[in-house]
Amino acid sequence: MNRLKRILISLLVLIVAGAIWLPCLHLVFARPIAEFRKTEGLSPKARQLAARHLQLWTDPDSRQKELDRMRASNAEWDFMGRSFLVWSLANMGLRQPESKALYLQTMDNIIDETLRLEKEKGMYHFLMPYATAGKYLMKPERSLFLDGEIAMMLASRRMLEGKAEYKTLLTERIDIMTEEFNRSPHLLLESYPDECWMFDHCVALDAFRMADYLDGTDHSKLIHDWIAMAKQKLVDSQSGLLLASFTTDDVPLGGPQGSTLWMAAHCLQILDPEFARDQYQRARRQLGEITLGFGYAHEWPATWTGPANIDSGPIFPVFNISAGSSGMAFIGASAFGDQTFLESLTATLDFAAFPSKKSGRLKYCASNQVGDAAFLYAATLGPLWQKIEAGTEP
Amino acid sequence: MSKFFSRRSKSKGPLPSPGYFLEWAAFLTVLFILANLAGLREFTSVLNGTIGSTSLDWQTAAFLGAVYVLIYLAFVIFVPVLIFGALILKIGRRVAAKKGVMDEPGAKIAMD
Repeated sequence: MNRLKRILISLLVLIVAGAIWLPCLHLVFARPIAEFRKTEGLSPKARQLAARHLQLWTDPDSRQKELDRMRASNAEWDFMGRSFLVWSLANMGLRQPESKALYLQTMDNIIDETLRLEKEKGMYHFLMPYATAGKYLMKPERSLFLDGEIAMMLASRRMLEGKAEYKTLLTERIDIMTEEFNRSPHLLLESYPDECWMFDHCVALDAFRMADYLDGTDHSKLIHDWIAMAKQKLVDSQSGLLLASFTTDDVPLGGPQGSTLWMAAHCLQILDPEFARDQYQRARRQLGEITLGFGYAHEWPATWTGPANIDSGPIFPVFNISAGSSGMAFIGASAFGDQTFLESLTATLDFAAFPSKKSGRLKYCASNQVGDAAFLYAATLGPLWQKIEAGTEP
Repeated sequence: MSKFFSRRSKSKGPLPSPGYFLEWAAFLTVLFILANLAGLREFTSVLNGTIGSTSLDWQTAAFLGAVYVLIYLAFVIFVPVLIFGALILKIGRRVAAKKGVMDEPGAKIAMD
């Protein structure tokens, strides 16, 4: 009897202790937002994340090891890790002009190697294996995933400092995409066979906008027509959120996905700011959560049920936390200056992503190179968009 | 510390021993330190679907990642709860002891 009583008292005490501790837990991991993102200059976390990425691009062995780990799961991550890093470095160069030379050199290395791999191994090198299972409807076959991100890499580099060689490459890529959009009956281009992605379209349209800024071209009609079409055909009627994927005939393939939406809203900022804010606010209401001081995001709104996939990452039960959506939510929260959400997300990052700092270089063990590059982008984004919005001389 | 908390883990009185909670807290802390020294933190990349090491097969890497996550959560969540619990028990035992002394002057309250 005494033993049973002691067990019951022990349990009661642990419950009371848990009720005291759990609401305080986030305080251990909460940091001032300036540690992750600063309005000007680079935050400590951005410096540490960047140091690790710059080291990867100067140490081929470390890089290869990291790429092998990612490519074992998803070849796309190899490519996207490059894109996010180049976009981050462009923003970092504008934030920290004294380090511009190093950033430009790294950007050029990444771009040149990516273009070489695309040329030598073909676009399938950066696509998931199912890309070869079907046939692209548009010929010659191309993936907007690659064209859009490469164009934005080239444009970002040129936004930091002009380079004649990249001007030609950007113009070529923009012309190819323009011609494809003109041939497409529904203004939708494939990333995979008869599979189109909102993420890729938004990135590609940003590349058009950046090319217009840099080279004085005018793709405003295409951008306007595409957004008008998207508002009409690519918005989920229940949540009001943009759909993540669809066929070339605008038939939805997946619902509104957080792993796409946060980035899409950010990309829309230089295309249609009002629509961008509306999408962010809807996503924040329907996908973003803060529980006990920890921020995270769902992959789907409550009105949509979908399975976990390579983009959502594992979905953690009870709270329906999506690793993919939560990671991309950093970009949305940073882009729209949502300090409360961003602060709670950074608490989660330090709590659940297992930071590992060595010699001033930071990585998150629960993440990977593409995830860390996306965090770096969230910590540095801003100056590129500001430059375009200001409309000053390139 | 040893003066404040009982050294004995097992309690013979109606209240459990705070020392028992502290022993568990110490055990989980040691386990967490060992897991870190063994480099298991690297394997948590399983949380995003990336293999922790290309030199191990997927199942082993995933298992090691899951083990680390469990040990980490036990350390971050349960160790403070156990310490708070030990404090609550200690206070409870002091209150009970005082109450016992007041109710039954001269009565000996078993503390351990």
